[in-house]
Amino acid sequence: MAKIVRTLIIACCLIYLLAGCYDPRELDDLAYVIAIGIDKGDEKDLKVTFQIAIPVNISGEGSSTGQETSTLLTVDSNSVYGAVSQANTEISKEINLSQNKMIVFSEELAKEGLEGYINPFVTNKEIRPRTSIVICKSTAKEFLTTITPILEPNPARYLDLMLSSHSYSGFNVGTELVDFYWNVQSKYTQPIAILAKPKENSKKQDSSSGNSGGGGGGPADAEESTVAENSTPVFIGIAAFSGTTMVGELLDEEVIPHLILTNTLSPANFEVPDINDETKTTTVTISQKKRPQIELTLENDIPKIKIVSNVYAQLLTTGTPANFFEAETRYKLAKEIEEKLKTLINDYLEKTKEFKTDITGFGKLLKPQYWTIEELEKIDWHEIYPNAEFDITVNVNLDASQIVSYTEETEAK
Amino acid sequence: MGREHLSTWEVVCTLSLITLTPVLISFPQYSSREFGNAAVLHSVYLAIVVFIFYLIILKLYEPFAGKDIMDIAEIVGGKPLKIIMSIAVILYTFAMMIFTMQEFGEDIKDVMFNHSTNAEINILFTIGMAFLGYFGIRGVFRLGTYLFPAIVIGFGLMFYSLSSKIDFINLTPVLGTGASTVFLKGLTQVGIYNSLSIMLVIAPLAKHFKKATLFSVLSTSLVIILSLFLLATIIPYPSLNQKNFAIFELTRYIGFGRFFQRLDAVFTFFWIMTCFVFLGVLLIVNFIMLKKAFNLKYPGRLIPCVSLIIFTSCNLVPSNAVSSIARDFMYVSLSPYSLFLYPLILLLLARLKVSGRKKQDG
Amino acid sequence: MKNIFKFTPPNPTNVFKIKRPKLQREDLFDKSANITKSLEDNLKRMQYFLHYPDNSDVKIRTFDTRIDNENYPSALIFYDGLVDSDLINNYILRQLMKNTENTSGSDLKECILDNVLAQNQVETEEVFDKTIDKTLIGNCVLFIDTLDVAFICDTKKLPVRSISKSENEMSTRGPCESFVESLRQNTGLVRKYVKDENLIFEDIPIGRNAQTACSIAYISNIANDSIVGEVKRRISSIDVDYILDVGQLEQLIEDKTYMTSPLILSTERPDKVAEHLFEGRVAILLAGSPNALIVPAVLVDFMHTAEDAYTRFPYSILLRFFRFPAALISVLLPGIYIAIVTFHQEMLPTDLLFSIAATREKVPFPLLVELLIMEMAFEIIREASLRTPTPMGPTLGIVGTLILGQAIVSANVVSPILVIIVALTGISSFAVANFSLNLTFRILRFVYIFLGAIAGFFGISIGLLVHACVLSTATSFGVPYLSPYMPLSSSFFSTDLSNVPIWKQEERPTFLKPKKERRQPRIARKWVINRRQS
Repeated sequence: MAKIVRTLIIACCLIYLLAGCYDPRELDDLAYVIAIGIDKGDEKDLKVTFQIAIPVNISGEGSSTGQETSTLLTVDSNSVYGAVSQANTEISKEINLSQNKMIVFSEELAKEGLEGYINPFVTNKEIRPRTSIVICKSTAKEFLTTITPILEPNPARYLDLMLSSHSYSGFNVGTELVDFYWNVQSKYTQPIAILAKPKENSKKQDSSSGNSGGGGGGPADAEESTVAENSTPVFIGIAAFSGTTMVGELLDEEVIPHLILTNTLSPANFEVPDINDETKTTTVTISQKKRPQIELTLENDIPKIKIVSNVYAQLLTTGTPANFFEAETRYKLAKEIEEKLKTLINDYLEKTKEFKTDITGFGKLLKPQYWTIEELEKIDWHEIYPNAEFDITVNVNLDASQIVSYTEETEAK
Repeated sequence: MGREHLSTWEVVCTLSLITLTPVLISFPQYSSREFGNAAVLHSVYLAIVVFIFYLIILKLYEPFAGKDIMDIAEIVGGKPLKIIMSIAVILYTFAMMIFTMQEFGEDIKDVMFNHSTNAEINILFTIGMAFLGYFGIRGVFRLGTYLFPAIVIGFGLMFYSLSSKIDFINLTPVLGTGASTVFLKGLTQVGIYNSLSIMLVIAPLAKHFKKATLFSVLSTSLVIILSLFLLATIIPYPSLNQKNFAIFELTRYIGFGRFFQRLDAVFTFFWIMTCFVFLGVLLIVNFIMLKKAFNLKYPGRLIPCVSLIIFTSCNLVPSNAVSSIARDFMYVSLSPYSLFLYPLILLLLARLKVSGRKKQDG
Repeated sequence: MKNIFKFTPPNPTNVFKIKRPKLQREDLFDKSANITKSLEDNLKRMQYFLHYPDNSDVKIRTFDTRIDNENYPSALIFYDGLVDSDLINNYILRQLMKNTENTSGSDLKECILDNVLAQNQVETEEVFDKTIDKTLIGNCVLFIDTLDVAFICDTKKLPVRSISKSENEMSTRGPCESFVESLRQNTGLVRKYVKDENLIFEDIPIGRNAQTACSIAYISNIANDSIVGEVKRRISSIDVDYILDVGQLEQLIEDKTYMTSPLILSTERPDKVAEHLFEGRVAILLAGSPNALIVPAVLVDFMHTAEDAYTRFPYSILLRFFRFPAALISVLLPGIYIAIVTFHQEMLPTDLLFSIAATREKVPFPLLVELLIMEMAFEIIREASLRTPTPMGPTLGIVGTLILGQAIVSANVVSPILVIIVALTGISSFAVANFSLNLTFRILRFVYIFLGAIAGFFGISIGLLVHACVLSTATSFGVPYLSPYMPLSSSFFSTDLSNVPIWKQEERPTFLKPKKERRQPRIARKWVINRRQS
């Protein structure tokens, strides 16, 4: 028996060696792509830009600062995989997409539809399913050129941290490739992507609106803006999709309603007009402890959606002195926040109706109301969503544990 | 093979692992395609059906304690039936092994070894399977007891990491593609519980047959329901239809912070081991039947040949698509008979014959 | 028997001139023959058997024994160097030479045994071969004319080492004594710890010439009879020329030769032997060997150190907790490293991947070669520093590890990360105290490296699969090798990984099926409940 085992082992090993499996790839023989940019091509369909990390300069011994930590490679191709093959012929190492952090599409391409450009990434086993999808207002190549890390020597980590900024800023969202893909396929909700643009660090700052903390320039001059030498990428909001086609954009504060309605709001700063002086602002931190209650009823193919959202607010600063020990002051502030949130949510919903896309996913609520898929599919949610009527209630609770509860006048009048 | 019995714990763990293998490969995809959002409901329904069925089987089996299905076949139809039956079962398990190895190999190749050929991966599977064959039923069943808890922990991790993605709304509409489809056509999917029929072959080896069977039914149905629940709540309905090797797809989404991402390779590790246990147990069951049917003294000597036959036939199966269809056929059209009707009829006949004999004696 | 009388009668004058007599007839020099009444005859045979006088350390002293004023020619035969000369001079020769009155009226043999030999262990032997065997272990043999027996007096004074501190199984707490090469001293050491009349040392001589004494120790009212029986059966059936050390015996009685993991525990600490005897195991001691074997042994026994039992509960938990990951690291880390780096790059966090890639950039070899170079270098250094004389050992270690390591990295032959991996693996393997298990891990490490290099995690999973099967089907003297865990037994909760405080260790390991299952009553600390009453 032992003899048979031995013979078997040897035979198998021999067969195996003869078969010549050669899948192992040496780590240093690969070129790691950390971001992919896809633009509309001139001659061919696509212009694909790979941002490739240079590990030696990132963490190699004796690396001097100032050396490039990543390089860009642009190829023309008709498909994404074609671009990978093309790129492989142009550089010495094999392209590996496993460390890719971000896929950037230009707005131009997104508006024409990303059908066929998303699928290759979903089926590719190398790509991380949590890769972010970014729609860029300039060309993707320009956008990638602007990625020159400020606080980080490592461009991959820089991207990682940048893309997770949604967890504390409240002005943008995190979109993962899988979510995007699932939403594309779903009939009851629509995908979104991160909207970004390169921000100019030149002194033409005046033109940008000053009231948003995270956001940069306004949308108006975005398309004409040329990329300055020392610019950095900025995530400015949400690109709303209908299917795989981009149909609209939501900027800065317009993102907050989306976060509230999809229950993805992490504590974010929120500005409201001061209760005493309209010209000044009071800042609160808003958060949501419970899922918003959303009820959907269909009446003669007109969806009636009732939204009740409970928002918790914590006071950060006030524009004018106020005493928050008084119930009335508190009530006033709460009302103020409520008003603004209501308007924001309403505007947001109107906008989505205008875009004819349900990026919030109200349609999902239809599903429990039917027994079988057959019955459900009689309703074309995309058709009837623009007719939707909303009933919005926002309850604002001022957190009891606020630090600032009483502010006194310190300036002499 | 020694005199030691298989403990209940060993049986339960290993049978659950064997059930997990088809769940890994294609069951969720098929289930989602057929029953839509009702895939979980369907699996719960199947669990209940199988549980009731096994209660009946156990009741019928009572007078034959210590006998396996071959002995019962001998009681009913003498030696010829025993041999015919074992050949049929052996062919069936052979086919199962071939298709599983082929399909799992394809999946593994797809996710890990893009540059290798199928044959290379199948060789690895064959080597592992042959080794397990040598260690005999006890070795494999004990292996199961390590692996199953590890996989349970793995599932725990998946739940923990993916809990934010779980959306119960994905389970609705409750009846999916319709009540008749789920409850009537769904019955044919009972082949997923095929592993339980191994119980009837290893009956004399199990320490507490009844307890082991019932716990195995519970455990296997939990495995199926839980994995389908995870899949169906996380991957929305139409997307799940396209996912072959869907649980692997799920593990790709796991991430703990920025540092621990793409842990799918670690999980693949478990899935491969599961597949090995599946192949190993089926191979050993084959040998138990061969030994009994043909009175072989040293069936272990056949292991290299049998493994090679399986390996070769594996390479003869042309492609994933064809094998998929064939597997569906095995599971959907053939297995209800092998799992449900066949033992039931056999046991009923045996019961009648025994009672008849008693009447004659008395 | 008849042939004996063909010899010439004894002639004391020419005894010392006798060269080795020519072999006349085979059967004359049959070792199994009985001792005769003729001293001359006996001496001739003994001289032949013991190769006298070619053999320089065989001494034959002839003299006359005086009993009742009558002279009996006598001879004393012994090996110089194995015996205590004082003992022979004062209590044997002096006693025999001076006249003794046989007052009791018993015969000569009885008289000599009862009145003359002032010696605590005297036996009589009637056959030559047994007599010779006993001479060889340091007894002296007395032949007296007219008596057809040989008197065997215990005059052993074997050259021994004194008991010293245990060097290979060190511990900061607990006894430090270790076994020496003398069997009696070793049994004495064990009995010192096990003061129990039920502790039995059963002697089974091993070797074709029955030269090596082997002692099987067990506590008769605890150890399971079938285990004791199995040990006896295996040892008594061994038919080899000689055995020098317990290590050879281990190889002769173990269950599986080709299995990498050790199946028998070997220790040099008498307290460890005592502990295991109390659990119901069997210890095997061999004359001339400073180690004892303990059977049956299960895998977790090899992970234990002496300290575990003697340190406080929280500390021993900590000590054990880190030993198991260390064991895993020492077996699997290089294999997993090579699997991840060559097959599953996507699993590595980006930052780590970049730093590995950066250091690998200048290394000319493929990863497998790089890893093998480093592992081989490490093994060679380890082997070399073990064999070098003590004063040079540390120097070699420093040269080997520090300078070579530094140089090999700066010459870009291997990457620094790999040095870390190999060093970590090496250090982890030292955390596994048992020498045999340590070697096991070193072998398996190479297996896993190759498996990882062939097919990544797939290969490693095959390795683990086979490994787990090998371990779970192995038995040591009938006890499953992975015992408290597989098959699961209740002693899982009182030993090993899930250690419990000493007052809760109520049961002996059930997998040993001891005769007494309880070690101590449910309440071992009576003071806890008696406190209120007093």
